[in-house]
Amino acid sequence: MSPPPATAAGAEPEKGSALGRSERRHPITRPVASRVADQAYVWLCTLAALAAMAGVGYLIYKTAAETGEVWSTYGIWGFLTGTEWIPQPADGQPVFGALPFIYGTLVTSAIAMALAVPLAIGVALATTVFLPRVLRGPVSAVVDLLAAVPSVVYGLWGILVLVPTLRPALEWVSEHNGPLGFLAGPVTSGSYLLSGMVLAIMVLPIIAAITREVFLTVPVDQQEGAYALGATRWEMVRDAMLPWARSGIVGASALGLGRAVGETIALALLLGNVPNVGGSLLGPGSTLAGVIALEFGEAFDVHLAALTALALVLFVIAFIINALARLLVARSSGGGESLVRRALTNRGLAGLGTIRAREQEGGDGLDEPADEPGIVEPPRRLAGLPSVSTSRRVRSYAAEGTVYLALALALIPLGAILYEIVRNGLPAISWDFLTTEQPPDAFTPGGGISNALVGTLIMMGIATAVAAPLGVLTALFINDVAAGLGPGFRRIGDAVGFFVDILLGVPSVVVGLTVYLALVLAMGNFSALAGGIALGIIMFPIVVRATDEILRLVPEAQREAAEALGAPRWRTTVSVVLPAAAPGILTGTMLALARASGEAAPLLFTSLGWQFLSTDVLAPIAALPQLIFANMVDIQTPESTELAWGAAFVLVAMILFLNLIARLIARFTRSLEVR
Amino acid sequence: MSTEQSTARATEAPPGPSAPPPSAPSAPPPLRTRGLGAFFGSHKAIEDIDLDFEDNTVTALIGPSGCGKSTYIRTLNRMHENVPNARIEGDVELHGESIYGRAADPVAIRRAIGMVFQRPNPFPTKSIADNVLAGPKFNRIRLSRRERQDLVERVLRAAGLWNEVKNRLRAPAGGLSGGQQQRLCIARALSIDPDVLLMDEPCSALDPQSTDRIEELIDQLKERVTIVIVTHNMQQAARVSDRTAFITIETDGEPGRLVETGPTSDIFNAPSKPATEAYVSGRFG
Amino acid sequence: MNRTLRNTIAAGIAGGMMLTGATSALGIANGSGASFPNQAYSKWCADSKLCSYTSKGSTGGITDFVNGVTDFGASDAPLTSTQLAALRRQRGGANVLYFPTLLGGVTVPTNIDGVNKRLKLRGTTIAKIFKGDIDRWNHPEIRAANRGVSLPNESITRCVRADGSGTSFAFTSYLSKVYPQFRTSVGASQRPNWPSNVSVVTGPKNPGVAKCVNDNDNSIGYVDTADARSAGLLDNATAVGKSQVVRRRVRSGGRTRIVRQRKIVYIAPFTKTISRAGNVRLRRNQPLNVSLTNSSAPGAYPITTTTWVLVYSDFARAGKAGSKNDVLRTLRYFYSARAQRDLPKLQFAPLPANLRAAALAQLNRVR
Repeated sequence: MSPPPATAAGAEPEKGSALGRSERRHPITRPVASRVADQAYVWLCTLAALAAMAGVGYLIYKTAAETGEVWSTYGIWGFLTGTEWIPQPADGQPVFGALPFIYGTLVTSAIAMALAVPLAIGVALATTVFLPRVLRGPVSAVVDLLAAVPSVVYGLWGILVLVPTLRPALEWVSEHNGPLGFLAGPVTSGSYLLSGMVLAIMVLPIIAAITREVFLTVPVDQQEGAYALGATRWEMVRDAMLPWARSGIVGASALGLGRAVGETIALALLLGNVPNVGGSLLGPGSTLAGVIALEFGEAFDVHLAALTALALVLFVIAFIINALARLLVARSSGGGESLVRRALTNRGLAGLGTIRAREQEGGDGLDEPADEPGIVEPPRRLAGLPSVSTSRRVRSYAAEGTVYLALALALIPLGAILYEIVRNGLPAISWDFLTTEQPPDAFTPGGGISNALVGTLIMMGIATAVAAPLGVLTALFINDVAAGLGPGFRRIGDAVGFFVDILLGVPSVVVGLTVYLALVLAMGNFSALAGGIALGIIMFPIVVRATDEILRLVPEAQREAAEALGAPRWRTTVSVVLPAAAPGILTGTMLALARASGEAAPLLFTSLGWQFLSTDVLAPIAALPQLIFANMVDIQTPESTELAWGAAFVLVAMILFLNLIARLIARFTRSLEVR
Repeated sequence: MSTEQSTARATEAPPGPSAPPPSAPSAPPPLRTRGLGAFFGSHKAIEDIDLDFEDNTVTALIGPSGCGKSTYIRTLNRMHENVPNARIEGDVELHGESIYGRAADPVAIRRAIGMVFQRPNPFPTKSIADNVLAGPKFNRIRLSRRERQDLVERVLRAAGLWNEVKNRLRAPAGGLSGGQQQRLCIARALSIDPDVLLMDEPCSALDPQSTDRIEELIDQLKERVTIVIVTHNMQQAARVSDRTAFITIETDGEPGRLVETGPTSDIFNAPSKPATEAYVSGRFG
Repeated sequence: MNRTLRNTIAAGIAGGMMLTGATSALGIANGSGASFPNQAYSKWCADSKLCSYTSKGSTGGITDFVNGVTDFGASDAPLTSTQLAALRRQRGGANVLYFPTLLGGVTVPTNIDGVNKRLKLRGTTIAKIFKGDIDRWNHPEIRAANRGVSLPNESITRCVRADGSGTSFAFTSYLSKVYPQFRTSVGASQRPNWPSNVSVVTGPKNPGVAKCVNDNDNSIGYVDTADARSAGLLDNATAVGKSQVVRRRVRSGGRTRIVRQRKIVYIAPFTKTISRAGNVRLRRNQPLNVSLTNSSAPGAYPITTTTWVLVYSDFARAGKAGSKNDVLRTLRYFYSARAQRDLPKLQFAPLPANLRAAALAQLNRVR
């Protein structure tokens, strides 16, 4: 655009501006409409947050209300410390004790974390520092993809591949365990150790991805400082990166632990569901979420109440883990909680690159266009200069070797799962497979997944329509509105955030049951709508968490710039904050969608299932995870297994596809903005 | 609002850096603080500051680090309130009307009193043109396509940035250098035609050339708008300001207080207080 | 507002409005419940287009039926008195009618080192094994029934279900009937409480137990016929021995006489032997929730179970008047010769004629 040049710069007299005494040209009051808009914004966010709190409260209340009989019959202490779980005794009263399940949950989660955290740190270090630059992107993309694999596939992979592979080794261990009583035989197909391993593989991608982003936020000058002192690459990592990232790693692990504690299907398949306390790690056990998922369908009366009480125990455990993680993060030195936030939100957030860069650079480099912060490569050693002592070099090489070993240990199972899905799933895929309804039975070859595919897509749409706006508004309340209303409200905002976090660890079957009680019974039938809402509730806390974290990342300077221009609060949010946060919100929503789309258990209570192609949102509908579960777990024939693997492949491919689309949209909208 | 009168004056008086005519006592000054104090929670950052900011005048606020200059300038358009637990005592008047009064709204105040920050903060992903147009957009000022083009060119020229960016108005602002970004921020602030422009150490993050450009700009802008500038750099204060106010804290933990104010040449050449003398001659701070 | 978000929401709303009512579930009966008959019900529903069935477990099916959120339920076990009371309370006093649809066998496959044939075991022996009274394969009681088979001196690995299930219920109720000590120590249960001194290995669902048997040497388990076949265990399924009156020709003094004699006969799970278990004597209008395990019918496989479709006795009172015809049409199809002919290849057995006739007669009682 090139309009005819106006008068010389600065010389053109402004309307009302002049030399000499000026008058007030702008009112100091605001038009009513503008104030109303701000009020509406505040109320909208507050309502969303209140609705969220009410939802969580209702969930806990409904759960607690079902359990009265348990406490009155067995007593709180008696229930918590009871070691026997006999829902249907031959004669006499049933006996319910939660201890075996609490024990199983803690043991499997502990094994999972003990394995996953070091490996995840290794993967994160390899993909930020040690691997050649060209490999870093692809390797972390593979790791990210695995966050989207439905958990039933992890469970089946554990049974079909991991157990047979490790069995000889485990048998050898159990025979030669000597003094290690906790590894005594006999080796059973389900065990704490194997369950912990599969759990570790499940949570590893989450922890690795976030830890990686934490490492990327280590300021360049810290790294350079270490190198400037003559540090080797490992010494730089040890002295500059790890201390800085410690609190971030704690936060990432807490998120992973939340997933591990709430996992149902994989553990239901792998742990054997035998209520044990103590005993060999090679023996079977049972977890809270696992027993709930396995027995819910067949439970009634006191048994149902006892299972619900277990869900309540799980709430409390999630609460404690959450509180401990917050304490740890708060105590930990370094960048504090904001590191986790940054990390969470950095995933695929090229749009924020410049902002991030500006924030980190401090006062330097302002006169150069900002670029992505990153990892500093070690200086090349010049010939003839004094070299590092042998012992230091050996130690550094050993450390690097350990990192590569961790990467290999992590990538082997992850690669194996992807390979298994592609190998078994790809041959089933055809146009007919996608457009034909499910076969009439498990013995008939042919048939497809059209009804389940359409059902899953519809429910994912509903879930997103529920969770994304509500999640973003709730995050705005926590981050923007509550803080703006005063210090007291800031606390309320924190409390909302805390309660939303508890939802992260709630087993999905409990969500399903609550929606059944609240919506399905009220409507009088199962529906895609109810299923979508249940999935939306599962997505909600993830969307809130991701959005909250990224909103914190939007620099205060950006908000102030808008406010100094006289932008009303809602305007600042809509025009400045949300556009900057959009890619992150999109990524968070995608992660949430990936997690929710693999859920089968809550759908049995909400959308039920439908053998035919249906698009009616008020009627029952089919879904892919249920189809996978029914054809791999309920029954296994060659025909049904092929169908299930094909469906698993489609589910993973669909998530991958959505992820790609989301990233493209993010990039496209950004280019729209700057056009 | 009297357009005729002001246009007439604009043609009468020659533009230039010369000292403004003495303020007429009849009307209140564009901006004035009375007994202004500011708190962060229980900590009192500044206390009892009385200052008048005159038309067509650049007023520099100087003082040692931590004396509360920035806190003070942020109370002038109620940005201070953004800090949790922050509050003020005393009053700030815009053309004789309290901006902390019941009817006053911070959003409207900030539209009347613009601000440029210490570190340039353009919207990095928005284009250069959209950064300028953000002000009208935020304030729901509807402009035709033509008016938008005119506005962009006018304020970018006013900010001395037009020639550098006229060929890349659609490029993201994040790609500009620091000095260009700061001038873009000034252009953005001018786009809504404020009564008063607050500048909080606008050059502290810039190199000398960029600083020169901004200082020239300030000199040109004072014909259009009342300017308040916080600066650490006493040469800068001497170069750009007509009046100077010196704020300091006597002992740690005390709030910052106004020591003295007056024409810049007086403050630098013949300060009436020993503390000012010590500061401007470099013995303190 | 953020463009992406706005577009997403707009598309979501538009899509939602377009989808609502585009296809209707009207005219198709919706059922849920037992997983045991899932393959048959799914096939019948798919072929007839009269119904849709979702397997979620018997109790889940009963709960949905009681709450009136499905058109029919399906269960391997009759309603308990509590469930019945809840049904009457919530569904306007309507009662439940039981419609047996098919028969199925619970096989007891073994996987013993060096044994490549079907083992013969009496019901009591199986009960003793699962109660823990018999712990080794070369126990005299097992050897006596399997002359000529070299049984190893190895301990027995027992594979059981990890989850609650109708299969467990059928199996344990049979063992409870034939061995009183089993009834008092374990009992008939969907989720049996195996004696603590007996080491069991658990597997999820039927395929999990089948896999357990295949993976562990010297093991025994209980699996439904379909999964036993899929896992290649049908040939190793135990022939279960029961005491039965047999007629024998006795030649004495040049004359042949027929003598009735009580004897142990071993019966393997085949479609025919399973089907025979349905030959029960029924009174007119008798509720059809009869147990078929440990059937005394000659030549009937003893660990045979049936499963029921649950139907409201009075749809109008239950508040489900609109679905009555759909459910009746569905059941008539289930009892059609065509539908019953599908059963063998799904590893179920068709109902014997008497049971089918009784069921069709009861259909007329539905109001």
